[in-house]
Amino acid sequence: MKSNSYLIRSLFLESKSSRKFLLGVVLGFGFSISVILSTMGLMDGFDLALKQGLKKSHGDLTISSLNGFFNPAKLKDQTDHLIQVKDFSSLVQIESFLSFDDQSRGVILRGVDQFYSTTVGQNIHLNSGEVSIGKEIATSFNIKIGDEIVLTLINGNKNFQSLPGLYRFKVKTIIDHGIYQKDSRLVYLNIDEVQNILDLRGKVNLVTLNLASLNNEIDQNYLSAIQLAKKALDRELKNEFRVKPFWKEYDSLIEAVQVEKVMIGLILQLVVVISIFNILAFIMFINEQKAKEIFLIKALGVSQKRFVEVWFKLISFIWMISLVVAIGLVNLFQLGLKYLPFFELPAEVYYMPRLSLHLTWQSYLIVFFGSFVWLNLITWFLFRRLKKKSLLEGLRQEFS
Amino acid sequence: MHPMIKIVNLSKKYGNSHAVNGIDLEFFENEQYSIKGASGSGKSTLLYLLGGLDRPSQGEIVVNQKNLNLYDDEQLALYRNRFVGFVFQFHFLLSSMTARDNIYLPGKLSEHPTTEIEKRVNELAEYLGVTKLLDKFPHQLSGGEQQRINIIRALSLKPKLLLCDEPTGNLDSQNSEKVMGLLKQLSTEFHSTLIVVTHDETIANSFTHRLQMKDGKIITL
Repeated sequence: MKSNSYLIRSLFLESKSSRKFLLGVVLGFGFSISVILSTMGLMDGFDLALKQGLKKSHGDLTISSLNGFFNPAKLKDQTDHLIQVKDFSSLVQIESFLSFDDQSRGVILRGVDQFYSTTVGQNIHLNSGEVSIGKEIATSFNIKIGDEIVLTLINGNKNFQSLPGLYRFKVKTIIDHGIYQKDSRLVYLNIDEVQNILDLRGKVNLVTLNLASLNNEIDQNYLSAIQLAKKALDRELKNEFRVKPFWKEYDSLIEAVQVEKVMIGLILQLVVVISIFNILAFIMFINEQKAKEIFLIKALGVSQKRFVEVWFKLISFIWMISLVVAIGLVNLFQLGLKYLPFFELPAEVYYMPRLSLHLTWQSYLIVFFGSFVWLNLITWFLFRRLKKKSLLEGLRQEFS
Repeated sequence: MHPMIKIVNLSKKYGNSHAVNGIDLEFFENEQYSIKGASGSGKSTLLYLLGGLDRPSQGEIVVNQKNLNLYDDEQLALYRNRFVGFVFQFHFLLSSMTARDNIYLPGKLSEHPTTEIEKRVNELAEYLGVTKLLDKFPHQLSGGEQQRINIIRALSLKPKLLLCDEPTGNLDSQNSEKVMGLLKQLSTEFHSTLIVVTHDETIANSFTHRLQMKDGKIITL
C-alpha cells in the first residue's frame, strides 16, 4: 500500500511550534555545513591565490644554473626537444639596495627582457633608466609613478674590489603581485641595463618559461602537466641546472595548508554531528507532540516501515534545504571577505591582504555527501533505539 | 461453510499475565457478535488482535484462510486499512482536523479514490444525520455526534470486518441504543461481520451470537 506521505508530513508540521523548530534545525544544520565549506574554501582559496600570485612573478617553470651565469640561447636549444614552450624569458636576478627620500630597503632586482611581460602576464616594458616596483614598496615609501629612486649595484662581476655604484631610475609602473613579499621586494629593470652594469655580456642567471597547450586556469591538470615537464627537464639537465615549478618557493606552506585543510575538515565534522543532534531532538519532539496522530495513523493502516520512510524523506528534505542555506551562507561569507574591512588580513603575516573562498565541485560533493551519511547513520540509530510502544498501548494512552 | 475468521489456541501475554489465554473461536461472514466481560477480562485485547493492531504471543488467527501471523508489518497495515473498520470507545478523532478530514483519513492514507469514498460518506452522513457537522472540529461535537463520525470513518472503506470496542461506553442509554441500532443496520447493509465488545449486558444480549470472557478465556458461547 502506498501511504500518502504528504499527508503524514503535513500532520507532523501542522503546528507553529514544530515549524519553528524545523526552521531552527535547518538553519543550524545549514550553518554547520557552511562552516566546513567555508573552511575548506578558505584553505583552497589561500592555496589558489598564492599560486596565482606566484604566477605573476614566474612562468610555469623557472630554471637556474648550478654554475652561476649562463647563455640562455644555449639552454633554449637544450630544452626545445624536451618540452613544448610557449613563452621563454631570460632574467638577471640580483640583490640590491633601494633608496628614496631618506628611506632605504634591501630589494631583489630583476632584469627582464621583452618576453617577460607575456610570460608572467604583467605589464612590464622597460627602457633604459626606467624601473617598475612592487606595490608595497611604493606604498611604504610613498613612491609615485614618475618619482626617481636610487639603486645600489655592484660594478662588474669579476673583481671583488669593484665598488658599488649608485644609479638613478625613474619609476614607470607599480606592480601588484597579490603577494606581500613580492610586492615589498621586487624591483624590475631592463635586462640590457643590468647586464651592462654587471658586465655580463648577454649572460643571465635565470630563465622562466610557460608550457604550450595549457589553459589559463590553475587546476590539478595544470599542475600535473608542469610536474611532468619538470621531470623531463630534470632528467636531461640535472647536472647543470635546477628546475623549479612556479609554486616551489612556497611549497612547504602550500603542503601545510592542504594537511591543515584535511585535519580541520575532520575536526569540523563534530559541528555537523552536533547539529544532527538538533534534528534528532526535532524527531523526538514530533514523536511526543504528535503521538496521538502517529498511533491513529498506524491503527488506520500505515506500517512502521512506511512511517520511518516518511521520516527519512522529511530528513532528506531537511538536508536539501540545509544545503541551500549553507550555499547561501557561504556566498555571504564570500562577500564579507571581499568587502568588509573586518576580514582584511595583516598581509605581512598572511602573504596576501585578502583571502577569498575557492570551492571546487569535489569539495561540495565531499561535504554534502559526508553530511548526508552522518545524518542518515545517526537517525537510523535513533529509530532503532526509539522505544517501540505497542499500537494498543499507544492508542489507549493517547486517547483515554 | 468456512468461517471468515478462525482463531486457534490464541494467547496474548503482557509480562507474566495472560490477557488472552488459549482461545479457540470461529466468526462467520455477515454475522453479528457481542463479546461481554468485566474490565480486564481480555475482550478488548482479543478485538485488537483480530484487528491486527497487535500480534499474539501464541496461536493463530486465520482470516479468509490466511494466517495473520505470517503477515509482515506492511501486509498487516494493509489488512487494517482495507479489511477492518474500527469503532473505538474514545472516538480517536484528531482534534486538529474537521470531522470530514477525520473520516477521509483512512482513504487518504491508502490513496483511495476520493470520489468513491465521498459518495459513501455523504450517504452515511445523511443517514446518520450529521451532514451539517462534517466541517466542524471534534471539540464542537457532542459525544454521540463524535461517535457517529467515528462510525462513518470506520465504514468509509466498506470493511468486511467491523470491530467495535465499547462503542457506547461514553453515551447515555438513549444514545447507546441508537448507536447500536445503527451499527447493526449498517453492518447488515455493508455485508460486514460485526463484533462488538461491551460490558453492558443489555447491549450484549441484543445480539444473536453472544460470547462471554473471563480471565482471558471464553466462558460461554
